[in-house]
Amino acid sequence: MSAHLQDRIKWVARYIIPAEPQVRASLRASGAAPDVIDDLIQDAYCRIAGLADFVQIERPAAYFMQTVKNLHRDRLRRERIIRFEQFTETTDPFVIPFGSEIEAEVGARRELQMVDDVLHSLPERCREIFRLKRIEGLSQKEIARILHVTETIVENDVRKAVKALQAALRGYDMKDESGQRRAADRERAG
Amino acid sequence: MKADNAVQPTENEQVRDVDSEAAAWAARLDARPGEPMPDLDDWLARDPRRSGALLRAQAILDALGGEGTETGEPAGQSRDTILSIAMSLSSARRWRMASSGALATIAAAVALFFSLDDAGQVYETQTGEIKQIALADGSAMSIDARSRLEVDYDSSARRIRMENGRVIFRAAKADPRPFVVEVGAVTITDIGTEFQVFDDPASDAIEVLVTEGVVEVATGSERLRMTAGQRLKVSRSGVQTVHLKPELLPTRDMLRTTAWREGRLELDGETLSEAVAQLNRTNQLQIVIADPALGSKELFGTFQTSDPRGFAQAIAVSLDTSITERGGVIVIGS
Repeated sequence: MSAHLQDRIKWVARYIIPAEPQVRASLRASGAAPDVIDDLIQDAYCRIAGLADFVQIERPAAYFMQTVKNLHRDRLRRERIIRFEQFTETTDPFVIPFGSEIEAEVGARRELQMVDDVLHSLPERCREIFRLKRIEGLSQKEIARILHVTETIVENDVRKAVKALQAALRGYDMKDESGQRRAADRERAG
Repeated sequence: MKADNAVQPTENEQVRDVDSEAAAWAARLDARPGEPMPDLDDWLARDPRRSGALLRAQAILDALGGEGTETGEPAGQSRDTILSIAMSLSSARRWRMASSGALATIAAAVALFFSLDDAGQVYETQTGEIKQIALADGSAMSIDARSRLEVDYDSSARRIRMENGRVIFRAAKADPRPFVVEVGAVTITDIGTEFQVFDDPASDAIEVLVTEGVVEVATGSERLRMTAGQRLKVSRSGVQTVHLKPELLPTRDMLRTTAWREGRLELDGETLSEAVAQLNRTNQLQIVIADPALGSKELFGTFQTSDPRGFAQAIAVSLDTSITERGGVIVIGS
């Protein structure tokens, strides 16, 4: 894997992933359906994957928010479900309200909390794999040897952990909105 | 890897399938770094959206496993310290609070008046009150909180005497009479345009901002023309120590400066003290900054001017300080 690609992955891990819960919350606040939110987020990551020079972006979280906002707008236009409040918008649901330093700090804390939650929810062996990865900096191959399991098992556990954090990001700040979520589920069922 | 579904899946399922496959690829790339993977290239080529999903999955894996590997510090310790400063309010909840009812509040605060006779009419706004006034000639005024002005139209001129506060004037062009705003020793004559006059109680300065068209500003013996995008600060008393020289404002800053009209406070590096002064004009619920060091912190973002509580909570979280509220006063940094 090229060094440039590695840098991009680290940049996304550091600045974009932590902002994802807030961006999703903003989309929800502006009335986007869960399907649409997933779709817009995925679109935004595609843009980021295609960015020629991501280092130039001074406020990555704000850039992410702006990208999603534009995609959302384009979509509303396309679908002609133009609702009054979305165009007389007070822009606030889509603003990252901090300077870059504070933004990064708040994001980093949020991400640590999320990562911590996810790691704690994983089965014992999976947790151990990530302990060895984080602290010892071991490769999957070395971890497999130490734990006396096949490399496929390690790879599989790594995949599960990624899926767990993907799911956590998708629903992270819905924890305290369970009522709203149930209502949305009912709506879709009915 | 799963094949593409034949049945038309919902968008959500599509996204989840792609995410799930991306997670598998991220794990495989991590297992065999540097190995060529023609299957992966195939997978990526079949749908442009997959590159984004893979980047996200790899970043997620990096977040899960990348920490501490570079610094080599004992992970447990440093992470616990950071986690103990947990955010008291989730960002989602904060924004819900900021936006809930905000529209209703603004709607209630912004009253629309139609005035038929504009001879000697006085308009005054209290704390927390924004008025939109339509004048008989078709001109309009947006009057910010804590402002006072008198409209005096006669056959020769449309004259407005401003005593204090901040007003955006939009003068109707059809009327042949000059549209004149007098504030202190300064006279602003409109030549078919929109402009804002801010008589700042905290200073001796009067600030004129032209958002459209041309105005003429006269003070003492000096006189100059200002065009759209220009801002000028003049002494209220008319005594000028330097030549009048307007500065050109980028459109973005111009919109920001007049955002109060829409009930928004837009900050782009303004200090907490400046932001609080603005909010205190607009709200009964006053904010006090207890810690002077906080007052100079720079802020970015958009807030509802009608929601000082939401503002204070956002500040508390972002500046890592506390707020208390008692007796109609919010204290930041107590």
